[in-house]
Amino acid sequence: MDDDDCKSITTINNSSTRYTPTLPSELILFMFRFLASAHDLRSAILVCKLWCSCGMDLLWSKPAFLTIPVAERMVQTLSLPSTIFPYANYIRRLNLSFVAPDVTDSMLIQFAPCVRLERLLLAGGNKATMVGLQHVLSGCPGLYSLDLSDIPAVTDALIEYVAEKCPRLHTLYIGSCSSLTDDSIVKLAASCLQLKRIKLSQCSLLTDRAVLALTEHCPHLIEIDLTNCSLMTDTAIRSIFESLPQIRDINLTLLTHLTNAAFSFISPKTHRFEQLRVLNFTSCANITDETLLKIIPAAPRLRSLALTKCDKITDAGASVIKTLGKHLHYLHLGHCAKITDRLIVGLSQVCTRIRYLDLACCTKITDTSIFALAQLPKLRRIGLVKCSNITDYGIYAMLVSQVLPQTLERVHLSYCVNLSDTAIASLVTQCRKLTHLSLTGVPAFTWPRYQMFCRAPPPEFTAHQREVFCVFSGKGVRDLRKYMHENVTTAAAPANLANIRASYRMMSSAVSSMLAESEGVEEPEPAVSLPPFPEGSTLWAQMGAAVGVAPSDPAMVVDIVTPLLTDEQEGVEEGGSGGGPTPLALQAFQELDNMSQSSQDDMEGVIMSEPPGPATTILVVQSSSSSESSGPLVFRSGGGQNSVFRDGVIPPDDGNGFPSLQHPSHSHHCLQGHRELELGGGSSLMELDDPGQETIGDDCSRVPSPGTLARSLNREGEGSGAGSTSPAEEEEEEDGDDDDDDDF
Amino acid sequence: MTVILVSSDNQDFKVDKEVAERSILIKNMLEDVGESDSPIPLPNVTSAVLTKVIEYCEHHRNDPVQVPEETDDPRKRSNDIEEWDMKFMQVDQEMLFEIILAANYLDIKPLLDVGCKTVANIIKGKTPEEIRKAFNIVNDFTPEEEAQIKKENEWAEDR
Repeated sequence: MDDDDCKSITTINNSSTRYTPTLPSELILFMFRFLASAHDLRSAILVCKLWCSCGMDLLWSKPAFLTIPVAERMVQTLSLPSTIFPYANYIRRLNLSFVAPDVTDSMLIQFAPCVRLERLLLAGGNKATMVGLQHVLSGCPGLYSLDLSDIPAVTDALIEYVAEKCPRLHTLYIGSCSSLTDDSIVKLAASCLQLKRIKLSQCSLLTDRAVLALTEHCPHLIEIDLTNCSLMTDTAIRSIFESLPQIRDINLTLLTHLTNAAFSFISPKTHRFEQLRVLNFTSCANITDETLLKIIPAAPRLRSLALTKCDKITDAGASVIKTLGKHLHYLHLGHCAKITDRLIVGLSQVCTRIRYLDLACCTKITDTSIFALAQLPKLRRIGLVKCSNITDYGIYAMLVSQVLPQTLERVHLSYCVNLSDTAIASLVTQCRKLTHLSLTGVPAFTWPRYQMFCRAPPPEFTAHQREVFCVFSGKGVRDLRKYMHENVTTAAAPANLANIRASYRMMSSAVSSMLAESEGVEEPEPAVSLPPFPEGSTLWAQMGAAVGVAPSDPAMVVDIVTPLLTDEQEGVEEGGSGGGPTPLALQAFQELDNMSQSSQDDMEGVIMSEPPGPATTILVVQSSSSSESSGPLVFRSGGGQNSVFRDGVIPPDDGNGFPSLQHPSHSHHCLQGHRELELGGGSSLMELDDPGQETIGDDCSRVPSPGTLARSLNREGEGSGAGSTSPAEEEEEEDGDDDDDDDF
Repeated sequence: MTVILVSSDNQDFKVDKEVAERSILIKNMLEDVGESDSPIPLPNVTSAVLTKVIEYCEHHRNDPVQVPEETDDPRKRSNDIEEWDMKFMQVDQEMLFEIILAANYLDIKPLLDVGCKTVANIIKGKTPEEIRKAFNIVNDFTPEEEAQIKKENEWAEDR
């Protein structure tokens, strides 16, 4: 902290320290740092001279204005001929981005005396001119972070001025300053040698020359955004990868001339981009599998990968993404129409930290992919726009997993035309964190009764677009959930549950065969195993809440699944298939596979002790998932589904999000002998012959700990844009689905 | 192993080494001196305050060593004080400041934090006059000065 100013003033005020004990100024300043609001700090500085001299610097050091009148009042103080404190000296980080459109030259000129300015954020300041900008920038040689994005007055002349006046610049955002040419960037590169981050998006006049200057002179560059700098060729991009091994964030969106040749020199043996976290190839349509196979192995810690509209990508190349494993958090594959379930199933097994996945217009994707994705414990947003093969069973697979309902926040299902409102009702009821749901063009949602909760279509939409527009967000989701919840008219249809169960097995077997094929070739040890289909009341609880909504298209249900229904009694609940949620190894999938074709009772040793229904059910399950299991598992479930339905049971939280059927002290295939199992909220399951006391109704409706998500949310911003955090960096989510909007 | 701490009013305090070493000052002293039974004088800390400080260190004897989180984290939080500490800090203003001063002198960062957070929490939402009252501080501004500072910093009023 710089308290030299403080001290010089403090000396005047020593008379104020006659009350003992008094904190010395450094401790007062330390304490002031815990005052979160400027308002409190302002009260504190008015207490006495000592506090005033300690706190003033802090109060003025990082002003951020939410409204223009506040900024104007501060400027008014700066414009006074004499003030008690040299306020302009205190200002280090000036955030005008919230009020930028209203910032005039006359305001900017008042900031000229801010000689210690380190950061200036003014993105979108379209009233500013060369005069005002030059004034602010004239006297702050220590400036290191500058956001002048989207300011028409930012010309070559201004950037050359910046190059001259701000040699210590390490972050420069000048996206959408579209008049800029190579000349100014070349000068900038030659004088601002410390540059670490530069955004040149939409500066469409720039050519390879600009980038070559940067890569030559600025060895510390870690972030470069060239979105839509459409004159760039392979030469520029190649120089980035050749000269900047420490690069962290590269945005190449819309570089339509980019080809595989830019990356052909990369060899995983000699090139490592250990720091590379973000790589965006959106709409680089010439990029093929070849580039992926070069770059991905060389960048093993990629966190975010966007391949949207790289429509030449196939499973063969994209499967290399698996090598990123847990490092991968964001994956955009929209419009990569060649990819199939095989890729998604494989990714779901190893890239288990995926938080956001976009598969819009990946028309080959089916429910099987959804089944596999349903095991991702951190998936918060999923984009499936125009994945028209997705059916209700995909939605149910998401819910049955018990994993996704705890994390899903944004779901994009527009133009998934086969979805029924019944399935969506389950989705909104189970996913309590859901804040965004898009269903544009889904026939089941054209009903006025649902449309009333949908948000208004954007004004620029055509009549047709407005008609099909169907997006629920925030309150709309809550209202829809409430409506669907209240309008459950009948109890869960047993036929539906049986079908769901059968389809689940079918997906499970598809997944298992895909995994079996790749076993030993690439992924001998899948990181995630899939849980079996939950049974008994758990299933009822999960599905029951909304399955009762009048199905809009019951025919579909029957068509797909009927062949799989064997001799099972409709609606009969059975014991946990394959030994509870014990992570299943591959052979277990094969067993599941078999099960879907043969009598399950034989396979699983299920004994039906009682028919399902409100009465208590006790099931004895002999685990068949492992040869080690030697005794029967006792599984007690209870009645009371009806109340369970209403309460929207939240799955028991055993730490990994799987249904908690296993004994805490035993994991994997060590279920031996005859033991009690825990179900849900610790309701211990008693011995076999003691029916009717333990029920799982409300007992298992434990609220899951929000801890993990909260932590992951907190980590969200880690390391991103540390140099300059402009509010515009906040990820802007899609607004409304129209025909073309399928990226989210 | 125990060590003897001597307060400014010459009282001896016998405490476990582990407890005393919550103070980085004492820890460094002990490391410098090596094995020694000689008492450690703490001429800046009265026995009343030292009693409180030792009480704190006893309670937190098993806490993990705080990692110094440098980097200028923008605005620190003052609402994360744990319950025991909150109770511990319910002392009069004079003792509160004494504890902060002692924590600073003895280099006990967590105690310094908790003390400063407590002061910050007292300040929150109060007018300047209420703050003066709470901490027994005399307003040494002239009315003109006060008016001028108020005016010059008016912009911060409703943020």
